[in-house]
Amino acid sequence: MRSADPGLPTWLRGVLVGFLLYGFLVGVSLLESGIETFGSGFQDGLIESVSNPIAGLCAGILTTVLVQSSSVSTATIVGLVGSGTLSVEAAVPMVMGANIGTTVTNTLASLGHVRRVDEFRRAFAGATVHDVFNVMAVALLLPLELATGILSRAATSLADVLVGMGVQGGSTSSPVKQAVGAPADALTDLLSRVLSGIPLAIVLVVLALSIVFVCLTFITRNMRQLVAARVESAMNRLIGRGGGIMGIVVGLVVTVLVQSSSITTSILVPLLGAGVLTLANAFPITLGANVGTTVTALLASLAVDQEAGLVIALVHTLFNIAGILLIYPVERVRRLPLGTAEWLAKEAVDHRSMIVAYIIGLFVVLPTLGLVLL
Amino acid sequence: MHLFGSRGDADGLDTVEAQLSAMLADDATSLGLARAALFEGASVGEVRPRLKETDQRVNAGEQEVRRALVVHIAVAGAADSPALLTYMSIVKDVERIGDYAKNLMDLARMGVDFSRVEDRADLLGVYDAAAAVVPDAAEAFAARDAAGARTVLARCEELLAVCNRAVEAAAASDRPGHVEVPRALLHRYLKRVVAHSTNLLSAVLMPVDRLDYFDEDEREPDVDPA
Repeated sequence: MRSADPGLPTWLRGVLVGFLLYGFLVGVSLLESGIETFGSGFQDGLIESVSNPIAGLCAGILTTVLVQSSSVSTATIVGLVGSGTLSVEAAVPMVMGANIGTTVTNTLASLGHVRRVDEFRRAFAGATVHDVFNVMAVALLLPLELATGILSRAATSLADVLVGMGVQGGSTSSPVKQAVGAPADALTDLLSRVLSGIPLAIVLVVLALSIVFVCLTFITRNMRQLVAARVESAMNRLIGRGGGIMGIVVGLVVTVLVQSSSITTSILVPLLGAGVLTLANAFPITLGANVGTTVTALLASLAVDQEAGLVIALVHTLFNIAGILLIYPVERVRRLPLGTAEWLAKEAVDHRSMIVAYIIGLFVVLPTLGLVLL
Repeated sequence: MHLFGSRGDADGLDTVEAQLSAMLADDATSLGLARAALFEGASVGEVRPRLKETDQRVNAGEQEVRRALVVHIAVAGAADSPALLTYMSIVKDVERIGDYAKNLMDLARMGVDFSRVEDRADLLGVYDAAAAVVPDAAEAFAARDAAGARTVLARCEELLAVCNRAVEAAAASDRPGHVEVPRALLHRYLKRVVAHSTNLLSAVLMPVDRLDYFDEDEREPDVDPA
């Protein structure tokens, strides 16, 4: 009665994930080489274009919406910062934007329920609570960071400790950097025999981004297969017991395992639509997914030359943890994103045109305007 | 949550199978409790709360199965759709068997007592044969044993015919209502228990679009028409 599993044996899938992870780090290292090949003119131009924090935020949103993956966009940001092309200060709003941009995926997933009103209302609320929380977190923490530098200073201190422990090499060449740097250097050397200057830089960056994208896509796909039974078991137990801290832990662990917060949050959408998971119980899982997805940038930082790459990856993690600490513990504050998402869902049901306006407005029009005007 | 531990290894559908097995075991328990009240003179006040408790477990099990199926499709996608639809269909049958056990207990609660009637042996024979179908169907379903399912199915057909004849006889009988009505209801309820077990067997033998519907070809697929 049940379909036979057509997939690879578990051990082989595990080995494949190992290779893909290595490929991902090679991609990040190659990206760094490609960016360096562009030269200082490009670097100055990039810094200039995102020197306004709101423009940086908008760039983060748009990039993530375009690639449909905050893992890819934050790994790219780590590559830019790690190569010295982008400062941590300029990159902070971009990683915050990536957080907002990634929520478009589950919002789009909720549209699959649009023909059934009650189901859609629940699914849309579940999807948009992620948007609302991330917008709230940015609204609270971006001004605070700009005024005090609290996140980047904390991340720098933490990075110093980690570099001291040898987790990341900093300016010295760690074993991980050497291992992933060798194939990246070999590819750069190979391509430099036929190309040079800007064309070489473009080819390297496109190739690097393709490697990062393909590797992350297949890591996610294979890890999803590897951990599907465990995810299912965890979800079943969670639904039976309710959300809370355990929901955050499940969201975090599932996202670390599948390397995609979009996968985790998109799993929640049909459960919410069907009514087997409440919005209040789905919310902490979403928050855990926010933290879990930052592990990709942390992994990427292992492949870059400068400690700043690790700093920006840690800023991403600390930003998401701080967002939870600010919004989740106090019930009246927690009710804000929940209530807003419920209101948005009600409006979406009552006025279907509002759905398109919301998605296009938040994820395309506003960030494009911000990027163009600022 | 056992995301990394061995307990997390069970596929969500394994959990569904385990839940269905537990529900069927509870159904068998409920039918046993109703039997004790109807045929063995057991105190209704004593056994009915136990049946109610078992029935509540079955109802909760049905909800858990449905939730687990939604979770499975959300996590694993649509690859197992035929299995999911089948589980969705048969979990209702399993739950209904429990309901009919409750109806049988209700007969005892209304004062029906077959423990000292003349035809006790006949009635008990039908009861036991019908109740025995439940674990046998469960076994054939759990093992996906097509040959076993056909054997149980043949017994089901005989029992359905027996129950139908008994109801028809009661309808045509001149005996008083307090004699015939309990017998008609007993056979009607047992017929439904058997019919829902038949649906469970159909999940072993039939594709999802023909669940609950048998024809002669499927009943005897190994017989060469020539």
